Amino acid sequence: MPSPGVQVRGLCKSFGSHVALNNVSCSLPKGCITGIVGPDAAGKTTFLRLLAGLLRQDSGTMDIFGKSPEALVASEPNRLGYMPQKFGLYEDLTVLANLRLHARLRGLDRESGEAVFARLLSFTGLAPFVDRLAGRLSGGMKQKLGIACALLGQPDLLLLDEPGVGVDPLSRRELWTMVAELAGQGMTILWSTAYLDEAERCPHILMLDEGSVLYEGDPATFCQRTRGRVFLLPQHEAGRSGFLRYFGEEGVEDVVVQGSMLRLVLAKDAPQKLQDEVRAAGRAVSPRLEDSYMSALGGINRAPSPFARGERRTRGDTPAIRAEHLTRKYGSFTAAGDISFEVQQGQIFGLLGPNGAGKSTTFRMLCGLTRPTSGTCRVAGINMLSSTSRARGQIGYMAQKFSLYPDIPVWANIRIYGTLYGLAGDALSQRSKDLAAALGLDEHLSDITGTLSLGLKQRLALLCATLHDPAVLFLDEPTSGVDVRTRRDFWKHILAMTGRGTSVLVTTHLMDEAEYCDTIALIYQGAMISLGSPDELKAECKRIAHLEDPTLEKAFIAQIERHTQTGAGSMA
Amino acid sequence: MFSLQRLWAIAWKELMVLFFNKISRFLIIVPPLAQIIIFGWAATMEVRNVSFAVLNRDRGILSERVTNAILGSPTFVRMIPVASEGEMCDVMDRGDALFTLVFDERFSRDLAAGRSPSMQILLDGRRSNAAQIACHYVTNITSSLLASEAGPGIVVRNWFNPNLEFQWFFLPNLIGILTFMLGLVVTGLTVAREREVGTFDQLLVTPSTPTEIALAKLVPGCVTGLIHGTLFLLISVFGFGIPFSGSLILLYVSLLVFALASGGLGLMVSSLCQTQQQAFLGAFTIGVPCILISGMLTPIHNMPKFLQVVSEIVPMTHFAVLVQGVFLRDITWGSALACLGKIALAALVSVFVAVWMFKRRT
Amino acid sequence: MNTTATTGSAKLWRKQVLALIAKEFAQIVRDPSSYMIALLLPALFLFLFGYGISLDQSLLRIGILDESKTQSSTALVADFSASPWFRVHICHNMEEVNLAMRESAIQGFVRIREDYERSLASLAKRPGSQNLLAEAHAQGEVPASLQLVVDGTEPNSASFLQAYAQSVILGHIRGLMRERGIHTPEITVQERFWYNPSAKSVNFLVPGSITVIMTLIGTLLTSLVFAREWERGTMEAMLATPVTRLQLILGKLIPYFALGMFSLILCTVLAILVFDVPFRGSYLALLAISSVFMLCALGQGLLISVHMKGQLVAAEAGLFSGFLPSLLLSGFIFDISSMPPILQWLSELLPATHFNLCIRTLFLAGTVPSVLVPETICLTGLAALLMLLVYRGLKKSIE
Repeated sequence: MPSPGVQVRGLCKSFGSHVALNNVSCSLPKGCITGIVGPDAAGKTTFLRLLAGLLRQDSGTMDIFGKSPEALVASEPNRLGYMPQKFGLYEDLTVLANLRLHARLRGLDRESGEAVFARLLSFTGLAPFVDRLAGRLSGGMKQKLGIACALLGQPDLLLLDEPGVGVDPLSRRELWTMVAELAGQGMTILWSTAYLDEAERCPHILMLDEGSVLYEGDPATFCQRTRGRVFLLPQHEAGRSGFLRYFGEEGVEDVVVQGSMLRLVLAKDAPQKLQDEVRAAGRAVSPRLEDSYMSALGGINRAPSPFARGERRTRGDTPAIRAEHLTRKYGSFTAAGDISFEVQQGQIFGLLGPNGAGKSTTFRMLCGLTRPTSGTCRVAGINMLSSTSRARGQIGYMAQKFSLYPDIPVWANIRIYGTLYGLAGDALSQRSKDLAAALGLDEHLSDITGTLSLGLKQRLALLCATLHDPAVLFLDEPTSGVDVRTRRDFWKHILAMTGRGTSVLVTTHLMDEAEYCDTIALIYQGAMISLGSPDELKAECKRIAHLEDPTLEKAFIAQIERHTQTGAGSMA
Repeated sequence: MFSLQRLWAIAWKELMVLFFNKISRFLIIVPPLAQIIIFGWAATMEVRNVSFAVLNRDRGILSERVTNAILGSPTFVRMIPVASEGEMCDVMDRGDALFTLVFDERFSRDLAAGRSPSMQILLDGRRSNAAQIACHYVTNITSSLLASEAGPGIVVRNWFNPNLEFQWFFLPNLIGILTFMLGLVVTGLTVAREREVGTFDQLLVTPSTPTEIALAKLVPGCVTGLIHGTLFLLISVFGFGIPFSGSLILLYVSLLVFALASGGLGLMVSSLCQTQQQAFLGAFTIGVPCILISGMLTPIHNMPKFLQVVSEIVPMTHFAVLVQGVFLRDITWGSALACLGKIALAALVSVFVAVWMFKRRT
Repeated sequence: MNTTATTGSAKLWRKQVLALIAKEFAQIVRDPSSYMIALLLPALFLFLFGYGISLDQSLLRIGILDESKTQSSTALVADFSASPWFRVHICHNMEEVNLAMRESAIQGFVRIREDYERSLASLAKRPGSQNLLAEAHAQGEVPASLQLVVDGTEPNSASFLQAYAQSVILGHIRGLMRERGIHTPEITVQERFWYNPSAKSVNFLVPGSITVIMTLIGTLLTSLVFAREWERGTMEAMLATPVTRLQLILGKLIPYFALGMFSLILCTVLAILVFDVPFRGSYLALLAISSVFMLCALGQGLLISVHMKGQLVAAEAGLFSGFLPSLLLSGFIFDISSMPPILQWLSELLPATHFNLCIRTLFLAGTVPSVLVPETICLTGLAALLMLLVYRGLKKSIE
């Protein structure tokens, strides 16, 4: 193991009564990537800010290459590079102006500055966009620019705060390659993330939970904790009743959908009957970080979903969503062109695609937020364009960014949306009481909405979107930045709803979420480039890229690469 | 399609957002109140506490009598005797004296001889308004000194505001200014803020129509306008002792309509803006000129003709007439309704245009 | 790896500040709202204050109710009609007058009583009083034959109307007395306005509006700048670079200072060329004092900005602490010496009050050291205090 670059002993930091970091000690190796993993509010950002010298600790010591952060910042500020969340870019300045600003602040003179620019621009692939405003860049490019700005001082320690949030798999992979190359050159990198698949690639991880260290070391060792307890079994049952059944089963620590398969993690003390049944039905697979993480946290929340209760929606012939030749143009630029598909009742439809490919435009047209230039969209048989209000009564919507009113109590938000969807009186209070109790919000009803944790906010958003039991649910990157446990719970509810006939349309950058979909549409350069189930996509990838057992992420990237190669000239 | 229930739900939300948060509640209530009290108190065109200088070359006693008579009036508090022109210049330059009285050598002699003596009054043109008024006071005092008992007596009386209290004029106007600015800013910013924060989309995907949303957005401005109106009424009647002679119903109705017009204008601004900063500056750019030409600070008939025409379009102009009429003048129903009609027309047009622009944006 | 960081630290320090300034300028140039505030608003304000807002009285609308209907009363009415100050509305009965007053069709009226002719007769009988310095005319003893009633709602116009109407009446009576060969001595008051001979309110409103405009740019524009950087997360990125807080403040201060001074020059040029306001002082003194005032305004804006992390709150604080006081409390429209003592005291704390006096003096009176020096010292003190508070505020705001 390489010598430590960052040593932390007994680090504590509180904000008022809130303890952000509690006695954190770790020793992070030099010249490699360390993943700082943990759910929202685990203390990741505070940890990085302390190391960057932006905050002072209450007690404990930090040692970066033999110096305290304050001493390092005072004497050799350029040895430290820091990229905050949201990348810290001036969105109203061009790419070059952002770089230049940081270069000058870092004291680079003109000649060496230009040389470093050239290298960084080609390294990040931003060279063609130097004159573009930073605000007009896609999420992935913003992130690269943010890193480029942090790299200008040629630091020895690079701190990245959640660089992977809201970025598509393609960009994430490029980013990873970039950062890995830097680490190869001897740079020490700390990468904070809420996603375990990101963390799994790091040679070293620091797991934080509620301000304390859960685990530090090699991710593979951590994975071994659930060895022999992870199984993959086919979903035979119609719909997703299998998933829901295992979710409630004693002895199951984790269950996720992977295309047509179910992935199960059994507890050490799982009942023999269950173990036998699972072994018979499926095969054991090697564990992933996520499996062990869920196991370490005590597994999933087995409480049944409130959305499973109630009448099953009657099956009609009309598809839940029917998009016909949806097109949106901005001037001569086609943001989304000729998109047609149908979503049947009880199905989950996934919209995937890189940032800026037209995925959001398509999504916004479908839920009536953007008027299409041409084409029509029907929701539950009602035309979205001509009977907007009536069609909207059929849909529920969860935005990517938490978008309920933060300054008022939780109950007021519930009341507002209930009333807007036409609920009133006893029906409203009964429904909101039921849902709040089942989603664990009943103790927080009189809290101010903005003070809730990210996980609770997300559950509240789900509650407000489903008060009126919509026929179709629109989810825009619903779990972006949310930790695994909350995500599991979230999908439990979604699958319970689809079991009752609700249809779901979801956009996501997370491939494990895409696995839940019945059908996936890939949007790229304003057009739909492929449509199929996760398994079909993987199979196609196997065929075109000659890969054995590809992941969905690989399939996604292969599709896009194929499209870029064949149709490169058409979209200049 | 149009649903009052949804409209009410959004309006209720607006009010919750505005009044549930401590800081926002504070900002809506306290600064405007402080403004009413401070500026109500500060704003005065009356001239008080005047200091003046006297350059007396006259050796007689009569010039001193004149000076004492002036000092005897409550308006004038300090007399600075100066000996030379140089000293006089100093005092005037420094702004210590609002004006200087200059008596020449012959003043007493002329007067004693039955001739008409003259005195000079040099006024500070940097404060020409105050100086002019002070000059009138001085002229009145000197002429009353020499007034003959003969001839027709003149009785001077002021109607509506017997002691010419400036507050009586300014406070009713201040409520117009505050209702207008708050209506403009509060309405304008809420839309921009919802856009920035992302809550607007969440609202738009519900069955509520843009018309419902736009109309509901007008409610907070109206409610704050009415709250301020009430507080203001209490302060001006019990705090400043301004008589309220008109109809309460008329006052509230006009306040409501006026707040609607301001909100409509705010909504128009906000539908043109992307960010809160732009909305704020936009509201400001529209609001301040409206205040300036509405006659609330200075009389409209002093303005050039074309600005008088422009001020006819500004609802605040009519509100100023109305609110003063209600307060002091016991305005006739005929002219009150005429004003109200103009404000209502402005409200109708601005709300209509705002809703139309709102629909186009969404 | 780190060769560049330590070379020539003073030079580097300057370079870093320059980089921040360049960044701020680039942002200002890209934001349409900063043009609005730096160019459009000053022009609009100057225009409104120059043309629209005027404290000079135009024609006063006066009603005359002639109950006497004699030759002498007609002569008085004719004098009113001939006066340059009045537009005369002839009324026929008290009801009409009442209505006109309530609807503010007229601003006041003169009622000539039936006994007017008779009271004039007394002029001949008593050839002027010899009791020259008699006590004021006791109105109650002699039943007045002339009534002057003024609409008091707008006290400023009311007192002008009173004064002008009285002078018309007095002039008329003096004329009659001269005709009858009676000479009463009177004190003629020769008015002369120093600094502003024509006594036009434009001449003091336009320089005063420059104060308001500069407060606007200084306080309102900067009150949002740090709040915006916190909201967008760029502040954190800046703090993670080697720049110090002092440099960050300078990086904000200098561009907005330049913008403010630009508007000042623009306004001054417009005031002199378009509005014909005389400028009697020294341009150098104007620049120097405005610089100090600009620092105060910026200091106030930055102070708000450092402490208020939301844009909405910051904007409101800027409005209530910057714009309105500079408009209403600084002696711009309302004379300070007429305010209650507490407010006079409060107005002393406003930079705008001091600057207002300076800029009016510079425009209308010239470079008067006895005014400018103490006021500039006050301004400098306020600027230093505000800057200190900004510096300390920024230090604390990271946690």
